[in-house]
Amino acid sequence: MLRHSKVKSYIILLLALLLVMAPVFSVNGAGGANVSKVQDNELVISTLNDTGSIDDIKVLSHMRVSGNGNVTIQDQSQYKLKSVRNLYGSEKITQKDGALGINFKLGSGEGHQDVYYLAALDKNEISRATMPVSIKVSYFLDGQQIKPSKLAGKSGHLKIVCEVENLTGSKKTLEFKNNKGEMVKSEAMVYTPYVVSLSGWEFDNKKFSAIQAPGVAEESPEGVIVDVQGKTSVSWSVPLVPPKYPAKQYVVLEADAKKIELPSYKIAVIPIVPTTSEIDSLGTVQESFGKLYDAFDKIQGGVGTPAQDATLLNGLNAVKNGLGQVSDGMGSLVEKLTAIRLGLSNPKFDVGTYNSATGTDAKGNTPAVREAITISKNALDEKITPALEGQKKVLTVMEATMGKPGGEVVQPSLSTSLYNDVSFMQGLVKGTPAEDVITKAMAPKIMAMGANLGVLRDGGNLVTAGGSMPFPASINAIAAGVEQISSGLGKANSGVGMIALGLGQIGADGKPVKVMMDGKPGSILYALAYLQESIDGKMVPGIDMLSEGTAKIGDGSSQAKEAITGGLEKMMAAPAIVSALKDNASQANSFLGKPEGAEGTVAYVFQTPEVNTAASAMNYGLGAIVLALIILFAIGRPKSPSQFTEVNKEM
Amino acid sequence: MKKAIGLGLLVAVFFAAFIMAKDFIAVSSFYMAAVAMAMFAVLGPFGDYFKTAISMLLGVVTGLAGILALVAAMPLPPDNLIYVALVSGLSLFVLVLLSTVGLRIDGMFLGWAAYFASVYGTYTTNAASLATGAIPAAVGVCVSLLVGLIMANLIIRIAMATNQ
Repeated sequence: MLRHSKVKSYIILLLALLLVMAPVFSVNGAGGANVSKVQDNELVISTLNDTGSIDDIKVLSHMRVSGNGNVTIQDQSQYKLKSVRNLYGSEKITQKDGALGINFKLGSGEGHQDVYYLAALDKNEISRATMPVSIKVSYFLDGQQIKPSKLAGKSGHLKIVCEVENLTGSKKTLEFKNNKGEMVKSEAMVYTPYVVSLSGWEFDNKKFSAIQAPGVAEESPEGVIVDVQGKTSVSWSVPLVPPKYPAKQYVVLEADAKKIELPSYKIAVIPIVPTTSEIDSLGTVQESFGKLYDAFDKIQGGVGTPAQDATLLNGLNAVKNGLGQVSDGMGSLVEKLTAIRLGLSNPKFDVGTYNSATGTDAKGNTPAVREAITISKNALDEKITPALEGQKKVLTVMEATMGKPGGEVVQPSLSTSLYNDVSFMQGLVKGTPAEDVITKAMAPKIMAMGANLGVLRDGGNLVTAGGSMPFPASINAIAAGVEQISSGLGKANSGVGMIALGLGQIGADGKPVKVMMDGKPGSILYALAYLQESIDGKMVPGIDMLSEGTAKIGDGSSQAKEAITGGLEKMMAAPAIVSALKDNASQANSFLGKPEGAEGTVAYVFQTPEVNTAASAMNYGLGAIVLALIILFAIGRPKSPSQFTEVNKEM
Repeated sequence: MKKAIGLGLLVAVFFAAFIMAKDFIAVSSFYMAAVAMAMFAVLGPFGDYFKTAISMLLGVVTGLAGILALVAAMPLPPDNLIYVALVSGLSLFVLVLLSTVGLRIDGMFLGWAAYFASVYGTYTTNAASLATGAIPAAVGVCVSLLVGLIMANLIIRIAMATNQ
């Protein structure tokens, strides 16, 4: 009875306690729960199979709920799940209508509770699952692609190539202020930024040597190789963050291997805008670009157009026009000088066959100045000078015929002088008036005539009735003058010849003959023609090329300005792009889904297949077990009673 | 004496060869062979080594089942001691029950303990790896224990030979 009453007392006490605790339970119940924050962090673990495709996807989810009371959180799942397991706790997780229900007991005060669960995707959902980054791992042995399962235990030159590509690119319209301060819109491919970390890929030094992880600029980052305690660890960090880094990259590992065994390597993919410690020189670069733009603008302005005053192209055009005029002037000069040259000397003219009646040579060529001078000189030398000598001889004979006093008067004859004859007649008429006529008139006149004939020949004072007077026009004086003229004509001939030589020869085509002396034009006409040819053939084309080149500089400057403007716009757009990247990164916060209003993060891990000989070792191990059992069956069983008897007998 | 030295050398060489080949036959806890040898040398020349072997294998299988249950269906370390205790207790209870059908309780316990000794460290630090590593570990432990048992038999034979 007493015992019965004790049980009754315990029941009453329990009921009383329940009544006391009832308000507390109601506060902690679902109705009174207060959830201040839900954080859902997901790690998506994908296992790659032998062909490189995803064989299995598991999501390790860490959910932290802050607040108080008891609450059931509905975690959304956009994929059908094969299984869900609470890893570290006993909280029940239920699946219903594509959502996971997780019970949290947060207690009465403000606190939090963590639940880690592992959800495995249904096999049929794997093909539907969208990964933000594609991972492709290829294995090569001695240059031949090989499946990882075939690698185990083999030796050779191993090459592992891991290709990664960010698949999240989509076009977005970015709005930002350009370098002129205007709001502009620009369409750009914006990705969700992901960094792929291939960290701690370990290679046993006993099996691998000459390990290399080379990089290629703008394609593939170089791996960091560390050799520690018998293992070589290789790590890569691959930022898939366009436009700064390519959306598609790859990493390469090469090594000489023997009896290959590889663990399952982890490839982590994290949505993040990587912050580095590099010095941000964007502002300086932007300012420099601005200056560069101004400089190109000035270059373009300086180059200008042919029609634009005070520009290079305008100046070059003027130079070209001026050179054209100079060339035309040269042409005229050459033409006129050619005419002068032909007037100075006609090389075709033959002086020997000159006909003064026709004024031409035997072939009808007319003489030029030089030939005319030659003809004139020849006339003086060959005709006038001998004629004058002849006149002088005549005058000498006439002077001797006249005679003069001093000689013995002889009987007149054909060879005696007139004076001798008059003197002889004077002797015959001596004492007669005739003697006076002879003495006073005839003899003096004959003497004066003889003297004047000498004066006519040699020059001197001419005797006249009125006295004597100087007579400059003697034959001797004329001969001397003719000789001077001839000499002068000779010099004129040489001078004209030199002028003609200086002007240069004219070819049959009427153009100056090419004469070069010491590498330079050897005549005026050729020099002028050479100059004109240089102007027309080199300087004008050169100016054209200069103009063309200058125009290209102008075009290039214009293009550079456009490029700089584009670059500046990109720079100005950089903050907008970074902002868009950060937005995308913050939005990449779930793979399966998350409770409404929850904050979340997501990271991905891809596991490569393990390459080892464990399967064969296990087979050998099983064989060893069977063998051991057979041995023990044979020798490890107790002997039968009969055998005992035999043993006892032996003993 | 000469016979004892010869057979002793044979055991030593056999054990050394077993250690050398441990990777080849998927054995990591080779030292369990020595434990098995120490445990069962007492079976004597007329002991049932075969039954002991079967018992040890059953012990390993029970340990494997317990670890798989812990890994696959129960909360993982570190805050799961109650589940470890539960599984361990249940395992030993099963082993005791099995002993009633004639199996050796010492062999089963040794098998179970050897397997737990082999994988419990892994279970506490990297339980996920047991998804692929639990069965190979069981094979390795079995090989070790059976080799130990064979060597125990050999040692008894050596003792018999020297006593004669």
